[in-house]
Amino acid sequence: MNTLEFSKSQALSMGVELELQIVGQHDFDLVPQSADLLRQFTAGTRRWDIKPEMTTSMIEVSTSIQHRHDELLAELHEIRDSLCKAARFLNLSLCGGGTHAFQQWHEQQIFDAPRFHSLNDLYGYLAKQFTIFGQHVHLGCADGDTALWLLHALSRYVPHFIALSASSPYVQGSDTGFHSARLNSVFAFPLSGRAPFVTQWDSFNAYFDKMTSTGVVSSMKDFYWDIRPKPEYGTIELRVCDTPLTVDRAAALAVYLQSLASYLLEERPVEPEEDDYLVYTFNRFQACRFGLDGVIADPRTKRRISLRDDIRDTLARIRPHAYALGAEAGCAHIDRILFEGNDAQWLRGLRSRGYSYPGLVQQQARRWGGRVASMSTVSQGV
Amino acid sequence: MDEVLSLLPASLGNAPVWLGVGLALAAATVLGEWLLRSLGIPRLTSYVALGMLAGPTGLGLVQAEAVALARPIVDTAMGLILLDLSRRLHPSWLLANRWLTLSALVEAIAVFAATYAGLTWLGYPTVSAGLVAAIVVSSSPAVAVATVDELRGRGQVSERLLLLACFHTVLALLLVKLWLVWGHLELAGRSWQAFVQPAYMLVGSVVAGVIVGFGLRQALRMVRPGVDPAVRVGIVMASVEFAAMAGWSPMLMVVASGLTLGASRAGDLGDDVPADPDHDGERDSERRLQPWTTSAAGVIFTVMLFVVIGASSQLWLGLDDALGGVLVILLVRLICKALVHMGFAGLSGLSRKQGLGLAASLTPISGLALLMTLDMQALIPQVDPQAVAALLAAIALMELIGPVLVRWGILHAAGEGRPARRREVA
Repeated sequence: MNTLEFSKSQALSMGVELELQIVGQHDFDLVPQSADLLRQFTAGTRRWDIKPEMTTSMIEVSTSIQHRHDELLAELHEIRDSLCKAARFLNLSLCGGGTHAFQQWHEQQIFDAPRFHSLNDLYGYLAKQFTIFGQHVHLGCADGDTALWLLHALSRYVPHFIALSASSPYVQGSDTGFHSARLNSVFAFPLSGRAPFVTQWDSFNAYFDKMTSTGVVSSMKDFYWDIRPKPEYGTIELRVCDTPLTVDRAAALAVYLQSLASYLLEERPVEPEEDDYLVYTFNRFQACRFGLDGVIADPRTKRRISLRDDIRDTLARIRPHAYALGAEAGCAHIDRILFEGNDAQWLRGLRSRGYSYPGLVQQQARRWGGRVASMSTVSQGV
Repeated sequence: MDEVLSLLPASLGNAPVWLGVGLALAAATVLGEWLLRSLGIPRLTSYVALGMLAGPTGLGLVQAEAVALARPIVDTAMGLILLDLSRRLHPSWLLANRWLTLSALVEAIAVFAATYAGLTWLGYPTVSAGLVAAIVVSSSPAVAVATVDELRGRGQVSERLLLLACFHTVLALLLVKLWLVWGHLELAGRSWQAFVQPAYMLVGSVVAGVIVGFGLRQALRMVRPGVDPAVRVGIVMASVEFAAMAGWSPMLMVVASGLTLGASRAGDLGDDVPADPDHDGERDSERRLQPWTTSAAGVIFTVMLFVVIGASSQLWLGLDDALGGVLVILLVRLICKALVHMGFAGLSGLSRKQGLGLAASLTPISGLALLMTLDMQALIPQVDPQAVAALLAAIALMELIGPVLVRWGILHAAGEGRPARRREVA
């Protein structure tokens, strides 16, 4: 029987992974230079990591294990500054955003590594269409049972993270009408969506064994679920966020998750049920399509509520936990998004003011580099 | 036979100048596509080869008179390519990557010094050897841009090739002018013109270029995207001719214009909004970021440029009379570039293989070098004719081989870009 050992990790510890766009300085289109950028980071004693991704215009960075917002933010700033310096050396720019506004998927090249080639062979054009950029947040769990309980308890809040992080309104040079169009690309994969409703690690192992014995999957990496357990790290991994336009927002989203998990684990306000998933895809769609203005349904109370109001209520409920974890500044950032709008709205605001698509990506690169100081100064008229 | 010919219209006996040029243009385009598809020969090589074949030193279908008349078109075509190239460059890269800058300077110094040493060792007069060495410091921006755009090269080697081809061409222009100061002193005696003329050329070219750059930006903002090639061609043609009349360097001026255009855009790409709200909805800058050489208008000018350059080439005289000089020029450049770029590869952020690819890609000598040589002949007739013959033959050879080397460097050594698919060349 194929079984997975759930490693021990400190509860509520965090790790953040960010997939970033590599763009040229001239036209701000994606450029296939991840290997050149990686070569700049071969030596060193850094605690964080940098890795290639599916196509050669992408790069993934991951933080070390973090516990507090200020420490996470400091490391993310260090990562950003190191990357920007290396990018300038190669006449490149880097930026956040869930999709690149005008890249053509068929021009992308698969990174030369066995896993990426095998995925390309399996998924065909979907592999190149996977040139999308997400933020993944790992959250430490004491054991496998707790991880699965938390995974399902968090499912109700998945739309929060989609709406707050949404930064992918444009795809292939068109406005999709979505706040997060990136997740539409993920949905095309056969093993995407929600994890099966099992709440015991032994049961999960039985499920995993069935899946591997059919040859459908060979490892946990083959599941593209919105939240999935990562037994080798001893974490669950939230995968629905678009990469935000700034590292500050990335840190804020991570500690919002940390505070929310603390609230759920300590106060146990609900016990997860299979029926929670009745409205899961509807709520997820609302968040992708309408962002913070989306309306979600609660399967237990049968109430419908706007995501903005639901997040505001949630922030109020988790405040003591955020305070205890040193995450107040991050949660304050989340609160500001409710007023100022998400990154998708910021991008649409620029477009409505006449920015070309290359101009839009140029502004994304400036925000990523910390050269657009305040959201409000550029979001007027949004 | 004479009786038959006498029945034809009298005008055919004196074929119009543009008849040969027109036929050569059409034939080169068709031949270029066919040879690329069947044998993988770069289009640019075919254009140059056909120009050589049809030109005055070949079959004579394109007469010397036509080549001379086409000079303004060559200047304009070269200007358009240099404008497009320089507007894409970020000179700030040279500050951010000092190893790249150092490699570019070391390469230029090495090529100049080694060529000069080689030619003087062969017995060429020092002034002539220096002029030839200065001219061959240039790399071909036209071959670089046309090949990178054709292959859609977006990697480090492609980007560096564009930057260094422009950098070396500007450096060669300045070196030639500086060497001419010395040439004037030695060949024409001391004259205040020897000092003032290069300074006037340099300052005038740059100032005029900046003004033209701003003017071009404003003009482009006033027209809809579909018609902007006419504005570019018009402004470049007029400014190149004016610069020549004023005694400035047309190409230096165009580079200054392109850098001005690029710098003003780089400030904020979002600023490129149509002045007229009735435009077709597509933002100006989205079209204007298309490479010039792959645009419809750009293709016409590029084919004409390389055909006429081929027709202007003088290969055989140099190979007959100055083979040693030709070999020195070609081998010295190749060795210097390979050593420098492979040596600096790791420090400047490339792999060794990419360094080799960059070196190979930088070997074509600029078509601009041909124009500089022809101008030099007119300006200083005392320059050693054998040196000129060797240079012209080396340029002609590199025009033929150069595109093959650039293609190999980008596609195979660096692994960048993609060759045209069959359906695209069909």
